Amino acid sequence: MTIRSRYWSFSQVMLVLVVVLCELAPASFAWAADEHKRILVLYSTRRDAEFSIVGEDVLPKILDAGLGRDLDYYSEFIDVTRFPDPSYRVAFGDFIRLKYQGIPFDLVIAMGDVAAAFVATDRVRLFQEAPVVFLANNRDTRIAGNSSGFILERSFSGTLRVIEQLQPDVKNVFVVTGAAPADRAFERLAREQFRPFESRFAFTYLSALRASDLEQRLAGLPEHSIVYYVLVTEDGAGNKFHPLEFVDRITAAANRPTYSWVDSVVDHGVLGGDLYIQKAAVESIGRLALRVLHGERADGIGTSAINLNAVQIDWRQLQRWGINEARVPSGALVLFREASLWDRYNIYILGAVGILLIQSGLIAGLLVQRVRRRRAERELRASQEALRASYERLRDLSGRLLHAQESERARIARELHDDISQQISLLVIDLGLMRGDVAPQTQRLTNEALSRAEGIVRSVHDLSHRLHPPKLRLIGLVAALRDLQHEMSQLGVPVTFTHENVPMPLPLELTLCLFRVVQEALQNAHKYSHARLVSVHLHGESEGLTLTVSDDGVGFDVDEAWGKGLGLISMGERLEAVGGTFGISSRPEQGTKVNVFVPLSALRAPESVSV
Amino acid sequence: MTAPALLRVSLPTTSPEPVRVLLVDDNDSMIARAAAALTPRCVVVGTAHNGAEALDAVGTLRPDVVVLDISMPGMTGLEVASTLRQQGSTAAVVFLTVHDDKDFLDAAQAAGGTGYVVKRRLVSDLIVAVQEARAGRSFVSALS
Repeated sequence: MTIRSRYWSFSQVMLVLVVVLCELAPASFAWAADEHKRILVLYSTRRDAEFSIVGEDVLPKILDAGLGRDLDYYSEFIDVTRFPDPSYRVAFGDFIRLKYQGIPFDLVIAMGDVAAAFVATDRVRLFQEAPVVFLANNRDTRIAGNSSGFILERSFSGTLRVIEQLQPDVKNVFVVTGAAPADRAFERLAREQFRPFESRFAFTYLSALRASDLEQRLAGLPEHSIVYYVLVTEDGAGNKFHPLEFVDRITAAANRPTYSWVDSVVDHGVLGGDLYIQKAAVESIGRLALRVLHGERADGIGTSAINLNAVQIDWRQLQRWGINEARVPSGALVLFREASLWDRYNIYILGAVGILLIQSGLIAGLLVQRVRRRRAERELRASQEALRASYERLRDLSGRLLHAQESERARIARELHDDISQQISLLVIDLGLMRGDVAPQTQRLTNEALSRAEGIVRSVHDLSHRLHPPKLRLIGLVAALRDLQHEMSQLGVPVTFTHENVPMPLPLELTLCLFRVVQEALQNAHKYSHARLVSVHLHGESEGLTLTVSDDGVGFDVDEAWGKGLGLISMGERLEAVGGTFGISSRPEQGTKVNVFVPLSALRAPESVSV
Repeated sequence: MTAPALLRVSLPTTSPEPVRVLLVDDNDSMIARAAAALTPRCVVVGTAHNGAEALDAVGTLRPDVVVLDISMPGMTGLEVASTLRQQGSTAAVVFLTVHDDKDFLDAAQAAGGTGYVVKRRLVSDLIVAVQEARAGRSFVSALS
């Protein structure tokens, strides 16, 4: 390239420069002069028609976004549906001419067949050389000059295929159309498109009926039927309607599902169908308009046919008519699906379930805990029972042991006393009798034998006394205690014994019990306390008998001593057996005091051990 | 057989009528020794081996003196003596016992006993105690 440029002449370079400048000049001039893009949109529908509303909503946004500069946007609505008189169109043309004279439009957009026809007729007079973009439904639409457009043919039959899939049992299609010329034009188109389906469905055209009659008719449709709404802007009685209002009335009255062909009816009780998506059409025309506004020549783009239909189904209507959602064709857009409880609240449900599970776990844990605790308590109770039972057995055993010991002692004492003592007494008597008769040399031996026998008598008496003092039975407690006092004093323990109002006679068992308690207490005092004096006091009262054994010895820790020797326990058990109470109070260096109380009832108990 | 000193001392007080004695002891040998000791100055009108027999015998035999053992199966001699007193018996009671003990002596006197003889002194003391009792006087063996 650099090599070739060397051969370029100056004149050649200048020529190129001039050509480039000539090319650029008008464009840059126009750009500078024309800051705003002036656009007029003509609708074939009244201002409040759904298509007008969608168009006015979508188109300015697309253009605004696509142009990136201020948009001078105008729109007009040719309401031939309500004003079918030809003079309206003439007047409308004049109105446009007067209104917009002097405004050089950069683009005129014709929305729909009526607008396209209007522009085709009056274009030169009204808009001079402004390019035209159009959206038409009639395939024969042609606009002379710099124009481009889409032919979007209305398709009514696509919905029939949807019906076949959704409700295979449907046989009757009741087609609802109105009385206005536009309504009739739609009806003609529909009839034409439905003709191939007449073998599959029986079509009934409810055309141009009075609204109330139509409603009545729709309320009583047979089974296997559906309603197909085409268009009603005017009923048979000449009443004009907003098409969507009329759809509401139809879908409210009909006892079968209503289908249609355009998306504006969705959300007005219509189940759905293969629908003409108005917004898509508007967007298509918007994009086409932008191409022209960006400088493409409209007639260079040309006119083409498009199909923007899509299957849309109102989920609520599926529910209303009990149609299985699984029959919805694949690729269809299901609208207004109510989120299930799960969809809407899954976080809460999961949370609640989680909390419930945790709570259940806790409750289960607590229940298990309670069961375990109860089992443990049961086992504890059982072992306590067993312990108590074995304690009872032990006590019973020790009671019986004491009793057996006493009985045995008593028996041996009596044997010693009643038999051996008697025998020795007899021996003494006989030796005494012999003494006078024997020879002097045996006299000494006899005397020795006699004194030995008398010694045996005393020994047996003492032994018998220690085992079971016969005085207890034969004389009573006081005499027996006095002996005890005497014995202990001989052992070096000074004992005082006082008594007052002791009832006589006492039951032998009680006598024995009190005697043994005193004996035990005195022995303890002798063995352990180093007491200087022990006092025994027996005192009869109106409530019962009180026995006190107190010493001034070293004392001891009662709790510690309890159970170490049989002494204290056996004292308690002996008293318990006769219905009395036993208490011992002692502290180190403060002496010991044994308190016994036997209630009056026990003093009269006739029962006695065999001694 | 040499009579003991006490026996001799008491001789002048004995009545010409032989004393009627009931012997009560659960030991037959002891009864035999007692009977031997009392004979011939006293007449043993009967013997009994326990308290119940003794009470019956006193009722039927009407002895002057009842020689009573203290330790017997069933009723003790002390109880028998008390019962006799309560029944209004005029028979004097002499206890013959192995109990060489002041408390028993006190108990015996409290029960209405007139004499108290320790068994090992039976040979020397019993006849005296019985005759003294017949005369309404008390005789007590020397206690050790």
